Amino acid sequence: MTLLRIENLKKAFGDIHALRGVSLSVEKNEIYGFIGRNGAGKTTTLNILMSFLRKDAGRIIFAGEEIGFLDVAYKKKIGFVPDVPAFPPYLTGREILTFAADFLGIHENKREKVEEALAFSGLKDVRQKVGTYSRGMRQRLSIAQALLGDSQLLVMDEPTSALDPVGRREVLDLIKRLKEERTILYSTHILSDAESVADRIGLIDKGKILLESPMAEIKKTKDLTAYIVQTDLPVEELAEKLETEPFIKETKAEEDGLLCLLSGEGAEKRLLSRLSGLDLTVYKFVEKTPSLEDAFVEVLHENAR
Amino acid sequence: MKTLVKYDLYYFLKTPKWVIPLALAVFLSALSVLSARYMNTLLEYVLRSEGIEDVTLPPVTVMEAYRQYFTNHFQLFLLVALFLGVHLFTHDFSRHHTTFLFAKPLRTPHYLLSKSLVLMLALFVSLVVGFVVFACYTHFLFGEFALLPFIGAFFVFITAVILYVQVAQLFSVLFKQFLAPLLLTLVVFFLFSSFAMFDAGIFAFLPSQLFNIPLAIIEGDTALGEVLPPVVIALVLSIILFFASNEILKRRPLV
Repeated sequence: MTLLRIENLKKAFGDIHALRGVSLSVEKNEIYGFIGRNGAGKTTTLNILMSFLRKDAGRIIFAGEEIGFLDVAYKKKIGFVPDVPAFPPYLTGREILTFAADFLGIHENKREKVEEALAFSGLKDVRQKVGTYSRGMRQRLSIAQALLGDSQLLVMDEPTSALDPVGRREVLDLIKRLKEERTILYSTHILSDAESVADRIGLIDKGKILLESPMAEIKKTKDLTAYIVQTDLPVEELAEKLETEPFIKETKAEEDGLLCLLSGEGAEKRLLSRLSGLDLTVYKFVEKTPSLEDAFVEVLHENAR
Repeated sequence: MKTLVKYDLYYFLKTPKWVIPLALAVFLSALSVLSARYMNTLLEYVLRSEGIEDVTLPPVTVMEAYRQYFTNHFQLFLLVALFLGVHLFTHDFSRHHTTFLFAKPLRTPHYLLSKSLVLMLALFVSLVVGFVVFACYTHFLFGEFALLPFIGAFFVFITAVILYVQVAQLFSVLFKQFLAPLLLTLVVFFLFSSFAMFDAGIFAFLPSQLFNIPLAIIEGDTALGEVLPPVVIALVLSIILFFASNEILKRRPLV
């Protein structure tokens, strides 16, 4: 069942067309990875979705109903997690969540729900004011306030981008724990993060959706295979010799050899044949699952062509 | 709305900001009476110590205390109130709290009204405390206090505060940063202050007269027909400015 559908969303800032007809759909109880480079249009899309910005054209349909600008009823059903959450520094986490609950009109078992959200985010025993929180703690608090009120959709705008590795891991763990329970629209430019949590991916570039596909199929769709090749030649030299081949989309030096990203039928046989034609000894020729980043780069290359 | 008011009240109560208008109101109220009562005594003392004996200063009257009270409040208290107001109106935007607030089901008029109400409440409570201090000092040092005229004059001053708070709010939602709205509000403030010297023709009806009316009320030198037009126009203008602020807020990015 589709929970959120965005149709032909357009937004321009003067002469700059930030969104050129973005359409996407988020299914109930899935984590939708909304990926793209910086400036691709992710934050603009989410800002319009949250009524922080007016759209120029397009429709937003949530649970079958079209949403207007600053729709109060709709905002009761969604939670928002920004990239760098900011809260009044003179309040405690508990006070922030109590305000969030009050804003959402939660009266029944308010205290229990606040405590539950604090416990979920690991902030139950933190008594200090938000001004003293680390970025990771603030991001966890942000997720906690977005979870209040049993929001049907969580909109997350690059929630890990400003965090250190520990904070990033903590936030990703929280998101994984929400899998199956909530529908999440998760925007990021960190592809490994999207890969670790998302069920489906929407790739945006220059204000247009280039690809929308389930995570498991995205690499198949692009007909990509990846091989690690290790020879007696230095990696850079080997890359130079192989890069001219049309079936090799990309090469990348990795710890255990040269990663060759291949495309097209029989590409691995053609790679082997090319290697045998070179004067070298092959130590390793191992297939590797292509990453989301490989698929992402391939789609962007395709689009540029 | 109730939660928004509580949220904005916390801004005053959980930070030392509530002390500023309160301390200033008490200080200015006490200072007004003390300086009115003892300024001539001090001047005479200074002049005598300089060897000037034959200077006769006019006797002090209670009117001087009222004059100093309203001059100090229009010139200092209102200015500080505008600083506080612009900070209150812009800090959610400049500190990016709006992503937390406007992700929730809030209505923009409630958001603005809450800020205006809380600021006015903080200023009003401070002024009332100052009022009591002023009344006590005046009664003690001059042996009289014109309670009813002073209450009337006090509410005319409150009308001026309401108007300038709305001017500050309008510029704050327009710029969302501290400095530009503050400067523009101050420009409007000084412009209106300069209009106060004109009281003929259309100027008699303008809110700029709010600067002159309080003293005229206490002196018994004005009729209700002269007081009402600037007060009503100021209040109507405040309402118009409030709705204009709301329209601007809805049309501009909230983050």
